[in-house]
Amino acid sequence: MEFNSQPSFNLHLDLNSCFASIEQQANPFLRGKSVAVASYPTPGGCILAASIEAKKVGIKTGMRVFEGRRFDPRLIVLKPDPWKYRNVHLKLRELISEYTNDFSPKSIDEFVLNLRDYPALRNGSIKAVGREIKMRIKKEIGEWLTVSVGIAPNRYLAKIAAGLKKPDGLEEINKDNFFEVYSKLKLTDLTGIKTRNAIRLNTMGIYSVLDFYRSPVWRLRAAFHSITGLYWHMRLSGFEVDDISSKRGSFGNSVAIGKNLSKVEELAPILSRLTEKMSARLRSSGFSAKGIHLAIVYKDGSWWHRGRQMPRSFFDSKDFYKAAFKLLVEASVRRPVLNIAVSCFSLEKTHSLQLDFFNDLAKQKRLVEAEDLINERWGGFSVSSARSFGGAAAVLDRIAFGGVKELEEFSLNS
Amino acid sequence: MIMAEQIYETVLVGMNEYPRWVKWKDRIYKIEKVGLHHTYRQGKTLYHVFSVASKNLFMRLVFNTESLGWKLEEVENGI
Repeated sequence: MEFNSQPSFNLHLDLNSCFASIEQQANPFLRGKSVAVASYPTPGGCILAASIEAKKVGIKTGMRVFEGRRFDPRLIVLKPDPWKYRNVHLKLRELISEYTNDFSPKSIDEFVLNLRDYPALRNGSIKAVGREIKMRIKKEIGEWLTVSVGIAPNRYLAKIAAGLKKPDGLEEINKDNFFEVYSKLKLTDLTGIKTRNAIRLNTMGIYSVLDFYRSPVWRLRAAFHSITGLYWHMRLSGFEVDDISSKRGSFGNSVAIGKNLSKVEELAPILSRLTEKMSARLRSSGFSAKGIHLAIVYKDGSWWHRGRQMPRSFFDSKDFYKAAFKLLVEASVRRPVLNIAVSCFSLEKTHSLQLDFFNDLAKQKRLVEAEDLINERWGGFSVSSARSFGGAAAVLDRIAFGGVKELEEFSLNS
Repeated sequence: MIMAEQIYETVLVGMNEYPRWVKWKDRIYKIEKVGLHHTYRQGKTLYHVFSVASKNLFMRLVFNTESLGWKLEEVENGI
């Protein structure tokens, strides 16, 4: 397949070192220094974002704070401030919407814009639009914020282009330069190709991105054992296959636990707080759910998970908690827990309630709605179960990594 | 070395679109730079947060739109 000869209409925008750069924007005294935003500022805390200066000395996202300090003992470690980051995300969203309404946030710090047929392209090239957006971000949102912009005929290559030069890049992949770009990339530089997929490709004699691009579809289908091979062929040829919006299928909350907790009675308050957070978000989006799932990752690296369908659709935190607690007991926790995650699935829109022989669901719904109203007026967890107060310190406000659906839930205008 | 301190004190703030000065512990600090302005809600109450810097100090100023009061929530020296 020939490379797509259409002009580039897709622009991928990636805010560099997002959380750390925003902290440096807020506090000018942090600029030019090694800064990390970590889940916890303690030595075992996980680094969520490293400033450009910290990255230059080798500090990376995912390292522990103590590991980062080995690279730079003066590393400044900050706790996350989610509302700062959400505000910058909303400002970016507002700015981008002046160029196109066909855009989607891919995460808190990434957007993809389709500019086809939008007036922004009438007066100049897509590169000029990219330059203008970069300049306006500095002028209108924060002079310390830099973005890497990638431009291509499809979304996937626009993302790859955005990663070619970091920070502050503006790169395009198109029919004229794709060959040169591909020849400089390794297979694992491609988003979605990690070691396992690279091995699959290697077994079919594909060792480089150029091999990957040149491979016939039958060979790629054989490598991936599915239609995915065709999709890869189209992606690398510059055709669109990723313009799909996923429907929400679940709501979930999780927490990484700092302390060594390995008893059900120690984990129950945390589980209670998580189920309250999860079910409040579920209700405010107008859903109830029939399925519950619990996943536990232990500090020794092992894990356990189980999901269950419930006899009817639940909306009340108490019902979710009871179902999740049963799963927690079934997990027979005996080792220290690193991460606990609860989610609900099999979502249903809450238009009407099915009658229940034993429970007055209408009454229960009115009570839950009253609780939600109080929490909405006075802030989350003003009214919640006594049990969940014990979990409050462990379950903090956090931004889900790569979570796009959470971004649809917050707004400052309510 | 940056020393950060979490506090929660009522302060006077001189505003002209953005904070221009802060009166804290009987001293007036001229605001040299507004790093970031952001907002958040706690329940229905809207809070405006100004991350600002005087010559030597970073301050986090929070304005409660319901009580119309200012709080100084964080101070850091910038040395």
